[in-house]
Amino acid sequence: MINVPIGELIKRVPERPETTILLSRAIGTPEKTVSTYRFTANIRGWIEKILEKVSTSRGGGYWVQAEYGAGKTHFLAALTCLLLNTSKELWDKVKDEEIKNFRHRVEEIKLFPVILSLKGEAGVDEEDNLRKVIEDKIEESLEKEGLEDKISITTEDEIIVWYKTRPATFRTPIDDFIRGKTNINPENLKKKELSQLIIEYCKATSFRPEITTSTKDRISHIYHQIRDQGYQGLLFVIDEFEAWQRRHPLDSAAYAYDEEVLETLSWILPKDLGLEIFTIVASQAPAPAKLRGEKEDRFTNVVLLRDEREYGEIVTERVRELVKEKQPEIDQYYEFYYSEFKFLKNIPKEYFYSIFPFQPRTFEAIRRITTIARDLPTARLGISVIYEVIGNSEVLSRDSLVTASDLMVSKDLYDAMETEAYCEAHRAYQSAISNLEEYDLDEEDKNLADKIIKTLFLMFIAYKDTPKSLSVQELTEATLTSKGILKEGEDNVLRVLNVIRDLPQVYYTKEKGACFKVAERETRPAQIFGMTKKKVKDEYEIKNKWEEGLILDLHRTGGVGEGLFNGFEFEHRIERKAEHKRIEYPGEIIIVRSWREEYSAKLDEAHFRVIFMTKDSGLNPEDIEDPRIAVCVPSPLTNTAFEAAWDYLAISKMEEEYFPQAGSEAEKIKEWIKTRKRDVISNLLNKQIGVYRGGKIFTKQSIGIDTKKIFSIGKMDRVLNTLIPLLLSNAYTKSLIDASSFRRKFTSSEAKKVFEGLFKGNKSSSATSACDNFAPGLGLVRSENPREFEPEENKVFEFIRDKLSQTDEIHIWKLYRDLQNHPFGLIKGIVTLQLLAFIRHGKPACEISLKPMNRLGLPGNRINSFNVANIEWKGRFEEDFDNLYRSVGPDWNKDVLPLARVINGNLKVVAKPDGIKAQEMQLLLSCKAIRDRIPHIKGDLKILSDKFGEPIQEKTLRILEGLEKITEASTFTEFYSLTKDYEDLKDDFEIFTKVDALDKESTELINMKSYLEGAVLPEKEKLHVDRFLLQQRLKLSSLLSNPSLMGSIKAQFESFKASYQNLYQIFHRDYFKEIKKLREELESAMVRIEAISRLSKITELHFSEERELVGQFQNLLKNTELCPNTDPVSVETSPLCSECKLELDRELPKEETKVILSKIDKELERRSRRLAQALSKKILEEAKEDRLNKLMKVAGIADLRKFAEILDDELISLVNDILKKANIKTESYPVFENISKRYGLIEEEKIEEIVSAFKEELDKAFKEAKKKHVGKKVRISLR
Amino acid sequence: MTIVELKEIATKFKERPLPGRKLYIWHGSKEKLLGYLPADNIRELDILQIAPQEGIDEPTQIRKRVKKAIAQKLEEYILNLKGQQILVVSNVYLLARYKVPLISFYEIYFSDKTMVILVVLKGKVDIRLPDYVSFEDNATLKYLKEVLPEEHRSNVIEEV
Repeated sequence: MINVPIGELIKRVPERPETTILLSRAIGTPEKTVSTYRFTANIRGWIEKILEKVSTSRGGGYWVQAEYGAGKTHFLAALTCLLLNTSKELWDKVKDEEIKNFRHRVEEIKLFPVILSLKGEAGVDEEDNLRKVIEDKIEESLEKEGLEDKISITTEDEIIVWYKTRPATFRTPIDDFIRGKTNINPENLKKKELSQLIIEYCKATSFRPEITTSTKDRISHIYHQIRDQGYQGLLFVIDEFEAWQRRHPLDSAAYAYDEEVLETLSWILPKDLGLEIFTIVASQAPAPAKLRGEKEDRFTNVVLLRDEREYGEIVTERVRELVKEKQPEIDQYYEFYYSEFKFLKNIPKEYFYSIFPFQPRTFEAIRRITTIARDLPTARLGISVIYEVIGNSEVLSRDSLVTASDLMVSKDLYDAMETEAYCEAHRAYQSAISNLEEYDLDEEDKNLADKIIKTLFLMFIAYKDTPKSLSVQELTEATLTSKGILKEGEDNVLRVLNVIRDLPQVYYTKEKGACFKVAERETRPAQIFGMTKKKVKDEYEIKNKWEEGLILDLHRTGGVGEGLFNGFEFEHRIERKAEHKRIEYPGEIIIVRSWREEYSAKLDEAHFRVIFMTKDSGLNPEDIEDPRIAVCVPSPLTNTAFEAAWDYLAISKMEEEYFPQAGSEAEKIKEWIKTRKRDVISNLLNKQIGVYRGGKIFTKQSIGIDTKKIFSIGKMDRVLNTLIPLLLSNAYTKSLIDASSFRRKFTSSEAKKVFEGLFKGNKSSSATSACDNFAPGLGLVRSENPREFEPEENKVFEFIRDKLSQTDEIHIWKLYRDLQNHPFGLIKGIVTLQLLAFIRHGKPACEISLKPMNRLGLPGNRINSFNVANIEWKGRFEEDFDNLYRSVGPDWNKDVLPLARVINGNLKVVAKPDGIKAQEMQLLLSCKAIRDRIPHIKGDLKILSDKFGEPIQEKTLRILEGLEKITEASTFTEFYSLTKDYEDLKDDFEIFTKVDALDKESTELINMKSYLEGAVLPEKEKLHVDRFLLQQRLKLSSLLSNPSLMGSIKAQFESFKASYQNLYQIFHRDYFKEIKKLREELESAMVRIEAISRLSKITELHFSEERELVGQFQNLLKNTELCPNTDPVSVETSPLCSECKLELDRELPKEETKVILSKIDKELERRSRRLAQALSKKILEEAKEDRLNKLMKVAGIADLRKFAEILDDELISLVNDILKKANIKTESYPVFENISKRYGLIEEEKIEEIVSAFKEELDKAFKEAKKKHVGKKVRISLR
Repeated sequence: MTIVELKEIATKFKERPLPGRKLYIWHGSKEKLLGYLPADNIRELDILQIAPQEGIDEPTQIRKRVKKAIAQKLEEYILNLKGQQILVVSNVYLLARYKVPLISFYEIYFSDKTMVILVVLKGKVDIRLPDYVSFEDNATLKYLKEVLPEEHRSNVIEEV
């Protein structure tokens, strides 16, 4: 609860806030302007956008649009202050931190201000256009800034400047012209006269002076001059544009010209010429389409004061401050109103604080009254009113929020209400308030009534053009009516509303809510009703209206009540269920205006038919064919009933007449009709039951039903619940079941539950409960065991047996007809249940044939003792039953059992259908198991056949297929028909058993086969023979004939595997021990291989790359990699090591290793020697390369292999350089090859010749080498 | 608008500041008007008195100078404002004659504590004028209605 008055939580601002903000005055007092300005979220967004635009030096236009008094000028002033004065001192006065942060973005920007308010503007020098006004204002601004002599603006100036800057030869004729005209020297003329004379001269000589004339050129011209004075751009602030624009009619030239000026400022100059010109226009009207641009990209529309929330925030800020230390108490207010009312549910807590202590609807009212409605002479009085309200001591002393009704304490508002626009409504309001005294209301209710009237009045003037009603809930919220001790707030408001609605100024209906009305002259709708009634006195029409009244529903009576036959249509059968002797019977009800023969015809499926006539049509009771039909005939209409129907006709006609009419008179009459109609209908409904009470009820047997008792209460349900049991007890005199033992009402859905409980094993609570409640009474079970089907003294069964004894086949429909009709009166569900139970019982064994295309899906299209449980109880499924007859087929015990036992030896002899059913189930399960196995067996046999390379015998496959067909049987009868020869079945099943046994071992067989194949054994090993023998025994054909062999084969395989494993593990361990040694040798040769490669890089020596040698070496290295598995390795699942796949016959690469190492040594030696030859002592001395010499000494020139090993890239490069400088080229030449070609065999006497030939070859080689390397020393390599 | 309504407003205005811009046109004699208004709130502004007396003869210059003179005077009044003030402006015909805008009132003077009444004398020419002279006796009113915004345009009170 809250108990602190609002006066302690707020502080009203010391001075009445100024509501009239003047632009220049506000800009002249920037500290006050920015410090008092409230930056709402919406305003903050716009200001940030504009500052952002200014900071990025992109000019543009903004159109500030808001209603009258919404704060446009204050917005312009605050923004202008911030743009023109970016000092920290001023910006620190801003209350909004986000805005403050923008200062650094604009602090370096200096804009030249042109600020004008167009209210009261008159145009300049006969030229009533905006450009002139703007130029005038620029001139004033230049004066203020002391720039008037530095910048030329007007046309006179420009003409004179132009004239003065002309060359003398050009100026002289102008001067002569002027002297000739005025006899005065041009320098003695005034500016205006001079400029006019210059223009005259130009006209006379048809000369066009080069002076800027378009707005674009003019402003651009001014802009550049101002820029030269140190300004970055221009800021045009134009307030009250609408006041100016109103002077120029739409589509006039002046209007278009003003538009063009603004378009130039906001769009053409910034966009086309890139000028930093910012134009901010404020107007009540939105920007004209042309100024918004086709893509809305010209003037940006800045919409202020979007809603009451923003208005509330601004106004509250202007009139009060919150007492900071009382924040907890303000929180209490929030908590209280949040929990008690709905208005705070959708508004943020921060907003509540920002408008505290006001209920939000207060602002809706005052804003609309003062700004939107605009009928007030002082439209800005919103702030003033609110200021006055929170200065009222009574308001401040309350511990509740300020509501709209509190606004009425304001003198300003009172004055405003006295103006012409509101005075009539105000007088009506005053009258309503003064008349409140006449009502017997306690103080609390009187206060509430006062608040309600004030709220409704304020909402009336706030929404004068579009009247708005308030619902009870809205009024409760608006008046902040809390719940009392006993009643909710809404109840209190409704109670008081119901009292004061008597006032002509207060209008309330539940549907439309409450609103205020300015009372006008009274209309006389009662008289109109009287006249209408006289006009419509037509007996036929009145009786029709009476009949119409009988079927009125709640909607059509406007909630008054329902006609006696509500929910019915005339001449239309309505299905209806009624209980009689614990059974729910279906039947039909018809409301009849005129009699038809069919109404008295025999019933078919329905168990009763009740007909209500709207008038006596001369029915002959003897025409009624069925004792279950009752016809209710009313008495003739009484005078009062006739009068009621007449009123109903009259009010309906009046409603029809006034419904399309508009206007206050018509509205009032419509309201009267609405109220009167309720009374008329209520009266009419009350008369209906009486005419039936005074009427008669006819039946076939004239059982004499008392209408006074039947129609004692005017409720249709009661009437039927009394009448129908009377009819049925008279018709159903012989019962085949004991319904009296039913524990509750038997409905048609119970039959299904009993069926499922007894025959389908449904143990759900609904099924078992249905069995418990109904099965004993139906004669289907013993009462001590109601869930077990065991019929006892079932009279329905007896009835059927009797019928069967008379004929071989009974039509099911006849059975239904007989049992449903009188005198038995069984409902359809019970007949179906009994019929299926009879078949199931099997005494005698019977079947029901089903109609073609039936939906039951039973094999053989018949219901028999065995498949009753398979039936799905569905709606109207009994319509598929055709005939009932005794059944024929194989006998389980005698015919089927011997065959079935081949499949399942556990099957036995039984007598009862249930037992047979159970045995059949077991047989079918066994069949299914076999049927499921066969596809697997076939698949596995195929795999085994492929693996073992042995075909499967055709006979075996045929047997499997035959068995597959037999086991597809869905009943034992079917099984029997598919399997006639006992011996064949026995043989086939024996083979199936063997194949099945082998199939189960198939995975192991395949594993054994694979293992033996994968093991690589040297022939010398004894295990090689063992494996051979084992493979000979492992044959598919022998195993299929004798699966028992499998055991001994498996044992033999395990023995083989154990021996093999030992052998493998030893071999693996020793092999890799040796490999390790070889690998170490190879790795030690690595450095030499690398030396060989490095020597190849000495290009001057022309070594080949020795790729083959390196390749061989690397291959060998790869072949001597060690196995990552640790010994002893496992060969449990696979015959080879999982990593290295080592086979037992693999040999060590000892010889290859030896050969490759020898090759490496030889090659290295050869290359080293060649290097040594090339680097002769003399060459080394000449080279004077210290590092090389030193290295040669350290390594020892003799140990050239070692030297080659320490060669690095630098040394290689050095050696190459030395050899190049030495200018020696070594060329290979096949001297010996050529000699050997010439002289294959040499004899002693040819020595000289050969020596000579050798010399020849050498000379030739040198000659070719020198030719190749001109100017170089050459050597011939004989290798 | 009637004199009764104006008197009512003036009386309320004497009691407390009234929100909004308040401008009225009195079409009649100043003396009669002053007789209706609470004397202690009145301040008079005679346009003719404050208008520059010499040194200018171009209408544009006159317009500018008169506008400036009014602005200066209004600045002075507003600076020294104490309580509510009714400004009775006389010789308004000068504004119409030189097309002087009324923006100074809107830019400088209006507040909740100020009210402006423009006195427009009823034009009367007793002597017979030559035929070529057309005398427009309501030119000032016409100008004011043209220049004033809608909210003030109809605030004309006729002296009866």
